[in-house]
Amino acid sequence: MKLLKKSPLYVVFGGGVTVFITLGLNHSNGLFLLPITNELNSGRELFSLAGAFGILFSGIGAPIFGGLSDKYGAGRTIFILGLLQIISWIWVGNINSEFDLFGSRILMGIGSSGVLGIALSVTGRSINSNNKSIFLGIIMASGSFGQFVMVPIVNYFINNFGWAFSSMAASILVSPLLIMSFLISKNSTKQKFSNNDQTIFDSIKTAINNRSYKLLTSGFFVCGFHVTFVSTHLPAFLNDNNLEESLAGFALALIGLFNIFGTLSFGYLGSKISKKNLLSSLYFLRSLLFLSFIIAPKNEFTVLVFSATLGILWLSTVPLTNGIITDIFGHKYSSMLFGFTLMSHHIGSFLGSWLGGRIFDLYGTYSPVWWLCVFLGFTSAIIHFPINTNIEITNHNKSILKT
Amino acid sequence: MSVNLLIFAGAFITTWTMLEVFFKVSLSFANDNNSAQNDNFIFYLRLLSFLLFLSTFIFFIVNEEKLTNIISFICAI
Repeated sequence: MKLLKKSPLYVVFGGGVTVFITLGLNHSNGLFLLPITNELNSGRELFSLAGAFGILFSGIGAPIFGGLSDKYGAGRTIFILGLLQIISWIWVGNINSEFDLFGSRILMGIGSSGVLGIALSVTGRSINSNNKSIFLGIIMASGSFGQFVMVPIVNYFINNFGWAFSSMAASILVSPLLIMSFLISKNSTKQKFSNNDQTIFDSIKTAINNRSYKLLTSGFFVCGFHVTFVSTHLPAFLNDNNLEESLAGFALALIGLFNIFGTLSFGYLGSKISKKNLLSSLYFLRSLLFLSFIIAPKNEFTVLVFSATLGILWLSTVPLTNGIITDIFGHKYSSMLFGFTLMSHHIGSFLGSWLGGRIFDLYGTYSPVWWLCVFLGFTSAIIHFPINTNIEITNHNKSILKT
Repeated sequence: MSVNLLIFAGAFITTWTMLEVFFKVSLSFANDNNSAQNDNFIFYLRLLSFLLFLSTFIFFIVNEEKLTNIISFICAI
């Protein structure tokens, strides 16, 4: 018990499992599309719209639950989020109307909001600054790994026992979050922060007035745009280029696999090199990659190399972005501040998904969006350069900033 | 199918090589270049990648169609 109180590895384990389960089950939502639309006898648009609302509420909830975590403790907040996720999965199993569909998806969005930010922040607080970045990478990698493990499990349940039973099973699969909240709470003991007497509103005000934070949040929008555009529209794009249908599966598998290696590698590199320079180079490389993909002939090999390379750069931005926030503002309100940044990411995600479809409908090609991806990537690379991570906002230099 | 698997393996190895090159070039900019720690990290990363590559490869051989359908769903939403 004494060991449990002292070891930060329990917090890392708790955070990793929380992200593993939440992201894993979130990504299995698509498996319910056909059975639920058949049950409701509705079009696919309704399910997609409910999903979009879920993402939107997930973005809105991220800073709110992040703030609650910073104020009342990460363990308690994860416990509440876990309960909301359990209720939402039970609700999914009892969907009888459009109201149930929207209600359950919105509740699921709220339940999963902030989980990533809280897990990353709580890990950052537990680990000493030299190894912080690599542990943040491990948390992100566990989320990617969750997609590989959870999705096939839910798929197995749906195929063998039906969608209603599967969502009930998902509510049980999510229940370890309640235990993990206990492990995570091992971090929530009173800590000494450099900005200990700063209030939640002070921290928001400080962040809004901080140029580096604004640049970081704007840059993170691009990450959401890139990731969601590619994940949503890549299979259709490959189909348009007369490539084999199964290639999309291989491509997405490589993105997922290399995402694990990418988050770990960038997490490690973040502990050795300037995080903002790494982020700049990451967005720059993304743009170069998109540019090469536009120019290159589309065949099986180029598509798979593109997917794997994009996988390296996929969500490697997350541990670096979170790390910069804690470098600038300290740990006290890092969950909430990362939540605001995540909201920008989610707006980018929404636009990436919607704009991809909209532009294709208008012009019959994805080319303008690919070029937009190149432009946004270069812009984001430039945006990250002026970020100053050397100033930690304490009350002392906060007063200097005010003057 | 076997050609697809070969292409998959080829793409995996090509990208892995690029990752290692990027990793080593990036580390040359590090202030505290602890080569033992770096080698240790890259060893475990290689091990993890080998295991994950092997498991994915086997899954594709065992039931390609089923797995591709599942993975297609991962990013569809």
